Amino acid sequence: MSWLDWTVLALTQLLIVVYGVWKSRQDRDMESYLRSRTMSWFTVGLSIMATQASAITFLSAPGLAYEEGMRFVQFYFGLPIAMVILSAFAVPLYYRLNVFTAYEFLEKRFDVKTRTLAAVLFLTQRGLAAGFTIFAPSLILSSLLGWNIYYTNLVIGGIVIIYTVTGGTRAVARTQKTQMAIILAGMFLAAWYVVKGLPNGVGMGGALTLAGKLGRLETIDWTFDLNNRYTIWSGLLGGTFLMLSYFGTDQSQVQRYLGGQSIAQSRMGLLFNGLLKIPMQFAILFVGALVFAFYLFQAPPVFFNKVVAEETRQGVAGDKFVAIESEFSKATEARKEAALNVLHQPGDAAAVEDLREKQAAVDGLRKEAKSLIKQGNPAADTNDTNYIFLSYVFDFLPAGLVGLIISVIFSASMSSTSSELQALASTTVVDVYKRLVRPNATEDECFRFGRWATVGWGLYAILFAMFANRLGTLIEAVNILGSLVYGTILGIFMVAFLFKQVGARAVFLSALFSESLILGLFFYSDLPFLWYNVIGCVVVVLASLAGTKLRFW
Amino acid sequence: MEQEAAARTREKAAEESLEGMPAFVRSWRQVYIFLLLFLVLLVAVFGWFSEVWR
Repeated sequence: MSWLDWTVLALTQLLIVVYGVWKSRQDRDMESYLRSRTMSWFTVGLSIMATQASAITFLSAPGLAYEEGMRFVQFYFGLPIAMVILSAFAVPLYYRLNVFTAYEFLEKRFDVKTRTLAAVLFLTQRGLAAGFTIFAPSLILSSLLGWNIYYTNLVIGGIVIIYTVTGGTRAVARTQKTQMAIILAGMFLAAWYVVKGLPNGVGMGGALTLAGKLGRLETIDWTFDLNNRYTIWSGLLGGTFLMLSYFGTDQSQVQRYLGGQSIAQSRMGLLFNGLLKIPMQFAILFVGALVFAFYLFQAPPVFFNKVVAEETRQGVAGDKFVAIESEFSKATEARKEAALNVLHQPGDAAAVEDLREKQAAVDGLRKEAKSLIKQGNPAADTNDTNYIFLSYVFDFLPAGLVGLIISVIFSASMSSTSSELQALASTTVVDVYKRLVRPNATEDECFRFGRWATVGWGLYAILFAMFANRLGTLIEAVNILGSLVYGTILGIFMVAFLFKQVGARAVFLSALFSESLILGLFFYSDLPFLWYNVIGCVVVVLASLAGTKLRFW
Repeated sequence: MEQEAAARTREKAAEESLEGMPAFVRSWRQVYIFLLLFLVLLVAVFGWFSEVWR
């Protein structure tokens, strides 16, 4: 990075942190720290989007489109459906009960045991997920400076903790609004630079033709295949359950829309998210497809993680790796010729077939390179999806813009983490500390405990971030982690909303049974993770109903 | 009793309020239907998009 990039990065980060601290200077009580009912629908909507779209979205999604096409967008098809259901049923209910956290409702409906179970499942999962959001920018810094990723996690996580502890709900939401604007501008500029970097005569039309012929613009998969991770059916069904659970029962999101000035403003914020999320995700994936088209004309590295590639070159399999790199270079040159042929002879099926063959050769060499990396170091991570977009940014964007985009990634990650840490702190204060440990605690004590809880959860997240680089594609890992508990939590809430005859004992035991089943499926089956949400929810509902009917529990 | 009824009425009014919505919107149900139709449109556009560039 040039001095200009460093200046842009340092100034924007400093500005954001100072802004966050300044905005929160008057928030010195539990109400404003954990829930501030002052926000307009626009702020609520952007805050919801910023919480969900962290740096992980910005790093992983373009890489996924580069590798597999844009089918990942189907994952979000359940989101608008979930927004409608939550606006109609959950928002008015939460307002009526005047709750701080979603889990308070469960005690009113069932008992303290069920409330605590849901809160603990949330705390475990969200604490780990916060580790991922800290890990993503650390990954960039370690790749940029060659720092040890463990130290980088500590530095980044430390900044996030300081920023979050000083910021209340209102400051977090307002900062997120600015950050979303920067993210969208950054994405647009990146896409513009990719197209600008294509050879003369290729342009956007040519990029789309080539990416399309090589399957990178595939968005819809109509097949009903339980082993296929992203199909329209898994997106609509599994996605609806996942989004219902994430937005309806995950405190990091519930806290966002409970900050609306009124029910109408909260609802509009959710629906605004339902309207914009799929097009936004499509745009991010589209940038990845464009980067793929760009690398058809600009030789890509055989492996995008430069640090691991260099280690392999220096290791026992170094000679073989260098030989593969040389072969890869020739294969990408041949692919480039084939790509130009396709553009020069539109509609020629033979030219398209030739391009596909050349692409298969390139893919094969990448596979070989990955297996060599594994041979050289069995502990090495051979998944370089998260590095693809970064490589493009560092190698091809102009000075200043690199710094701005890195700053965008940092900001997005920090803003998501701050929402997560705040939600973790609220749940710890409201559902554990004030409910189970010190019921007579004053508002001031809760406020102070909330700040310490934020610090504690921040440290927990940093610890988990240390292991995050062993878990594959970031964006998938976060969603897999969520899917392990979301189905069960959603099931508990569904029973609470829809089946008045089911009692506390039945739902509690059903939830434990469901969670054991989901963990069993995770460890001992190949079922795609989106289905965990459906299965977890359905098992809790059916087991609760059957148990109640048969007086089994 | 009367106070409870008044509170319930206020609650109901708050739940149905369309504050901040454009004037042509008559109910939340309309907004929900619009969003679901938008989803159908997106799926159709994406299907066409995949097909046209394949």
